[in-house]
This record gives sequence, structure tokens and C-alpha cells, in this order.
Amino acid sequence: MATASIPTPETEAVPVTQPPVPEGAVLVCLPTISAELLPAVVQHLRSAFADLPLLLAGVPASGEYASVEYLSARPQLGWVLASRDYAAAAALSAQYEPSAVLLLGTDALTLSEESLRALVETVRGGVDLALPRYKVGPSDALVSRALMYPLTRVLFAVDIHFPLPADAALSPRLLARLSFVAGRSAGPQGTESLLWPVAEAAIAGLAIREVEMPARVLPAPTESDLNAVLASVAGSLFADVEAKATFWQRARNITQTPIASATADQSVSESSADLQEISAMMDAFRLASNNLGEIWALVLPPQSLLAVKKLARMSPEEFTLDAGLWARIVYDFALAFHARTLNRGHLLGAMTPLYLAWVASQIRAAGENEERAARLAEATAQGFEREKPYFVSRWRWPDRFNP
Amino acid sequence: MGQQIVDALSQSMHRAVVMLVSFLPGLVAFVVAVVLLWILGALLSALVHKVLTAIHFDERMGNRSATEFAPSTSPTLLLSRGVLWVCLFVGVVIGISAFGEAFANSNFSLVLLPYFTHLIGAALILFFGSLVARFLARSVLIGSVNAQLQYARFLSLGIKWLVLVLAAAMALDHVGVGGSIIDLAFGILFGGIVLTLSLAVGLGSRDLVSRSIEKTMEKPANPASGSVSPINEADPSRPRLRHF
Repeated sequence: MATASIPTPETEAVPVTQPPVPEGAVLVCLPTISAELLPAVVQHLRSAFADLPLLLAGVPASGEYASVEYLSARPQLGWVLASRDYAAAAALSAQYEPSAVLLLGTDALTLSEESLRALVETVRGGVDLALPRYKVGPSDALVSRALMYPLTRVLFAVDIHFPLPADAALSPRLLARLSFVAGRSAGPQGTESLLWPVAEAAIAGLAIREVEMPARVLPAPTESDLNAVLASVAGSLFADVEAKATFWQRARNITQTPIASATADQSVSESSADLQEISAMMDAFRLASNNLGEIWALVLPPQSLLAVKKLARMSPEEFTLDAGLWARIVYDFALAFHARTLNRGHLLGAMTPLYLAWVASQIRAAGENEERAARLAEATAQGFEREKPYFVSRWRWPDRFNP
Repeated sequence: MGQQIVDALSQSMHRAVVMLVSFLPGLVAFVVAVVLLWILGALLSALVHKVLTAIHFDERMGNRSATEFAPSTSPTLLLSRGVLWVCLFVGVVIGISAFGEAFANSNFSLVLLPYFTHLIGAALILFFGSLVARFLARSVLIGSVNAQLQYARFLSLGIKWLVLVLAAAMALDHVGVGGSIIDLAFGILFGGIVLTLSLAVGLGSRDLVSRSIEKTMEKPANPASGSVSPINEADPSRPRLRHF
């Protein structure tokens, strides 16, 4: 049985005798945490897993619990799990053979003990990937609703609302696979690449579950520029879609609850919506429509381009971006990314105003109503499903099929 | 008188025929050199394409910056076409040398070859100049639109013409056309564009700069990692929209 210790200056002076790492322990990998918060986090975890053998990674050695060294990617990325996080956890997993691995993000203290247990128990119950579904407000996690959730659901037939997680519980075999993928797709030195565990688990045929969770402080990207972060996330997602084209081109169905159509959802009164905020986003979209038409014309087919031009002329009171049109826009950008129609940085930069138009439409329609926002997210995902044949056709025959 | 005219004409005709006779082999040598090297280039290009495809060169390159200026062309295609063009260029150089050799009493190649290489260099400068101009113009346009600058298109056009004027001046200087007129015209044009852009940006961005400075002054220090307080929905300072 392995015993581990962290060679910190303190431990070198006075060696800490750690308890041995128990067999089949739950390995919990923590991000960089400030020294003041560390005791509270450790206490929180020990309380959550009081009846389970625990191995903490990323905390100083102590005689009270088993711990190991863990070098995550957090100092660079910070707000979601990146490929280096998975690779580092996989190395520990291979060494200590845990029953489940829990990777936690920044501000993990805001996750309840029940939530942490639920994640781990799901994996210990035979599932390979357990991801949290946080309770979010109608104006939160907008990129997930607009891009990540619908694309993951439609292309990989998995109904996971946060496919780019900040926290996740994984089985050692999935972690080993992710580590392999992380090694293969490693970016240039000094940069941190994103990894899409849901897509990897889906193509490997592994079990994935979503665990309902109460509200949590969602870590925000360290980079405050929306354009840069959106381009980085969308670029990584499109690259992943490109890499797994043979998988998603085959028809797959996902169980879904029927809901009212997107048009019906968006016909709500805008009294609750913040018209000033919507106007600001619409102004950004209109400015882009006046200036980026030439670039959008390289990406979007004439039908979509015309619809976008019409959208730019709408007043804030009637501004509605149809779910189907948004789906076709995203698909067209993914196609242009694949076909390298123009420089990828330019392509993703040109997508930001269209995303803002989607946000404006969403906020106008949902306002502060959480239920309506959830229905709209579902409508968006269904729009992506309806337009999937369009995406597949254009992917296979880009020149022949161009409406 | 008539005889003299006939003699003059026949001498002219003789000189023309002699000239043609000495010219034709040179031309044939030129064409043969170009065609041979073109065939060789095509073969080498196909070979390079095959080898690079076999080793999955495109996948290995990923989206490195080298391919960013010609995004619609894969790195494999770029390299294989590059090989073809290099061979063709060598063929033209050899052809010109052969052409010069075929002329009995001229140092034709000594005059033409440097001019030809300068011409190729100028064409390359113009080609890469236009690529860089287009790339920078699009970068500036998208960046300015996303920063919500109203004069985004104007800024982008300014950058584009700045680079194009610079490339054209460099190309003309490279082939030695225009002499000091080019330097003078370039200085006036370049200076004019820079001054116009400076005035436009300076006058147009006054509000933007002052807003930015105000924001910087009012912005609180970044909280340390792990010290973020839990969500308080009633907190007015909490951003209403959270994209991530």
C-alpha cells in the first residue's frame, strides 16, 4: 500500500507521518487554494466523505488524512477543467487506483456536502462520468445554453447541460482515456487547451450522468474579454466537432420532453426584460451587420445572410432570433472552421456579434423568468436537432449543398 | 538607285534572318528548360504531397500561425505548390541563361537575369504585401467592431492602404522604377494616411478613452483565487449577464 508525502520546506524540517493511502479511496483533486481557505475546504471534504476512504491531492501533508502532490492547470486557466488537470489526475489515478476521482474547481467550498457525495456515489455506482447541473439564473451560463449544450446534445446524443465543467467525478478508465487525448492534443508550451470529456465519453460508449445541484459560485474566466474567451471556447468546441465527425454523422436519437415551439416561447412580453441592456447588445450587432457583411457572406449562405440583415433592422421590442436560424448560423461557422474558409481567429471574432444578438433575443424573451429561460434553452437545442440534417449535408457536400 | 534599294532590303532581310536563326535556338532552349523543370516540379510536388499526406502533416501542423495567412489552403498543399513554383522559377532562370548563351555576341543573360530576379522579388513583395494587408484589415475590422468603434471600417481601410502603399513602394524600389519620385510619393502618401488615421482615432476616441480611464480608476482590485463570496442575487454590483 502506497504512502505519500509532500516535500514542502516544513515537512523537510519536521517529517509528517501520513496515514497510508487506503485501497479504493476516493481521489479528490483540488485547485490552488489560498492558505486561509484550505482548512475549511479540507474539513468540508472530510465531512462530506466521512465514511469513505479519502485521498486529497493538492493539499499540504498532514497526519490526519492521506494527501499527495497535484499540479493542476489552474494558475493558467482557472475557471474550467483543462487538459492538464485531467492528465495530472490521471497520473495520480494510475498510481493509487482509486474507486472514483473527483476534480473540483475554484470556490468548491460553495458546493454542498450532499452534492459532492452525489457526484462521487454516481461514479462509484458504475457511471464513468458524473457532471453537475447547477441551478443557474436566466441570465447565467449563456454560452452553455447557446453553443455548448445544444451542440453536445445533438452531435453526441448526451443531455448534459454543462459539457465544459468546473467540477467532475470520473472513473479511472475515463480519466486514462482523457489523459491520452490530452497528450495527443497538447498545444504549444505555455498554453492550456480545453478538453471535452462528454464527447470523449460518448464516443467511447461510456456511461454519463448529470447530477442536479443547488446554486454554486461559478468560477469566471480570468480573461475578462468576452471576445477572447468566446473565441477560445468556440474554437476548441468546433475543433472537437471536426475531430469526431465520423461519430456524429451517424444518426442518433436522444430522449427529449416535448415542449412548446420556439416561436411560441419567444412571444412573451418584454416588460420584464431590460430593454437598455438589449439595446446595447443590439447596437453591437447592428454595427457588426453594417461592417462585417462581407465577412459573414463568406460563411453564411444567402438565406441566412438575408435573415441576419432583416434581424438587424428589427426594433428592440420585436427583436427575435429564431432557434432554427441560430442553429444554422452556428453550424455554418463550424463548417467554415472546418473548411478554413477564412482565418480561424477572424472567423471566431466575427461570430461574437451574432452571439450577442442571440443573447439579446434570449434575454428579451425570458426576462427574469427561470422557467421560461429553461424552455428557451430547450427550444434552442431542438432547433439544433431540426437543423442537424442541414449540417450533415453541408459537411459532406459543401459545394453541392448550399441553399 | 533601284539596285541600291534592293541591296539594302536584301541586307536587312539577311540580318533579320540571321537574327532569327540565332534567336530561335535560344527560345527553344528557354522553352525546353522551363518545360523540363515544370515537369520535374510537378513530379516533385506530387511526391511531396504524397509523403506529407502519409505522415498526416496537416493534423500535425494543427492551426499554427504559418497557415493563418492562407487559411483555405492546407499546409500540405501550400508546401507541394511551393515546390512546384520553386522548380518553375529555377527553370526560368536556367532558360534565360540558355537563351543568353544561344546569342552569339550578346551578354543578354547578364542584363536580363538580374532584372528578372528583381521582377520576381517585386512580385513576391506585392503578393505578400496584399496578403498581409488583407489579414491586418480584417483583424482591425473585427477587433474594432467587437470593441464597438463606429469608425471600424474606416480604420480597417486605412490599415489596408497603409500596407498596400508600403508594399507597392517597396516593389517599385526593388525593380528600380521611379527613383527618388517613389520615395517622395511614398513619404507623402504614408504620412498622409497616418496623419488622417491619427486625427480620426484621436478625435473619435476621446469619449472611449475617458470612459476607459474612468473604469480603470473605479475598478476594485481582483479578488484572490478562492476568496469569491457566494452569489448574492440582490447585489446590484453583480453582473446581470454571465456568459460563462
